[in-house]
Amino acid sequence: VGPWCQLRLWTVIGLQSVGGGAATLSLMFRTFVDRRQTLDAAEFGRDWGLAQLSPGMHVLSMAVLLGRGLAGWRGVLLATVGLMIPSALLTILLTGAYRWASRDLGWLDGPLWGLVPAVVGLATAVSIRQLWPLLREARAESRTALVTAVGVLVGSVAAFLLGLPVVAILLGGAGAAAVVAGLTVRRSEPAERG
Amino acid sequence: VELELFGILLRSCLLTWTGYGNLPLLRDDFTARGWGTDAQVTDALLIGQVAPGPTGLWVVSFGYLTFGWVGGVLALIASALPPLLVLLAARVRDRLAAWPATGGFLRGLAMATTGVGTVILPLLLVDASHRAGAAATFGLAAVCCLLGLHPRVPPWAILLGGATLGGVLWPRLA
Repeated sequence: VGPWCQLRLWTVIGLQSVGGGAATLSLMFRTFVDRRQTLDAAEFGRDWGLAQLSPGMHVLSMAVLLGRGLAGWRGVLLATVGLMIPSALLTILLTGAYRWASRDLGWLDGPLWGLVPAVVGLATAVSIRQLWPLLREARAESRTALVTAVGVLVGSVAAFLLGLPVVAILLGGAGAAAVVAGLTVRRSEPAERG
Repeated sequence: VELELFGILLRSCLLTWTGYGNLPLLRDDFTARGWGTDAQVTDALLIGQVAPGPTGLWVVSFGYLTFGWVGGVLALIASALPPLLVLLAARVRDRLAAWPATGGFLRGLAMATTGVGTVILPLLLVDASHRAGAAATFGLAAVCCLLGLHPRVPPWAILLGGATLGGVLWPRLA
């Protein structure tokens, strides 16, 4: 993918992302998993998980990871510029217009209400679409890997409902899965040698 | 003032997670210095919702409302820098890729992210359902989810459809 094409892709994703980060994530999934096939749904899910570890906007972290995968540092720069600058410029213009106008935006109540379920529905669809390949991959690996993946999924839901901090849930789930994966390989190694 | 402004904006984006995570820090810092008001915060949040792009761009609107173009540009730079730290995490991941524990960690992280999202996403509908009824809100979300599962239905069409339907139904539902 050439630099201009990358810049255009990110600009289009940014400008179509009305309704927030969930919409941006759906557009990235559609662009890079469905249309361009630069990575599969499971890889997308793992990158999205990694993006949660960085501070600030997670969708921008995700764009940075995808850009890096496309073209290294140049891809990172193009993803950041394409996703942020045109949208930021439009945000500033809208802010200026808002300050200048009467501020009566009551007519936007209906469309804004309709956007919320649309964005949530889209984000749920992305979650489902990246969840199945991850589970399929775990099942192909071993029964332990599948049980661990399902355990982390259910455990993180329970932990969130109990009010634990999100960062602790993410690191706890990932850490537990890492320990299980490490121990499983250690146990299977002597058996393979034998 | 510009250097102090940039420092405050960068700190608020660096020490918090997600697009709205920096809201309490920024609000406190700006109002304490007399640089901004609660009304400007609310205006910026509203514009951030209407404008395209990631939700975190509300900071750009806030920067512009309080310090004009300089504020807007400094806010854009400050919010674009912290996510680059993910490259460090990616580098560590690449170095440790051969370890079986790394694969487990990444899958666990993805599963935990999905699990937390499973709870957060319906919660986002609660406020909207208070305003226009649970049946319409959750029903529209379910339809959009089904459409979203189909790779051929473009996301922009779903978003546009949701907004249009919202505009049409709002007088009857609200």
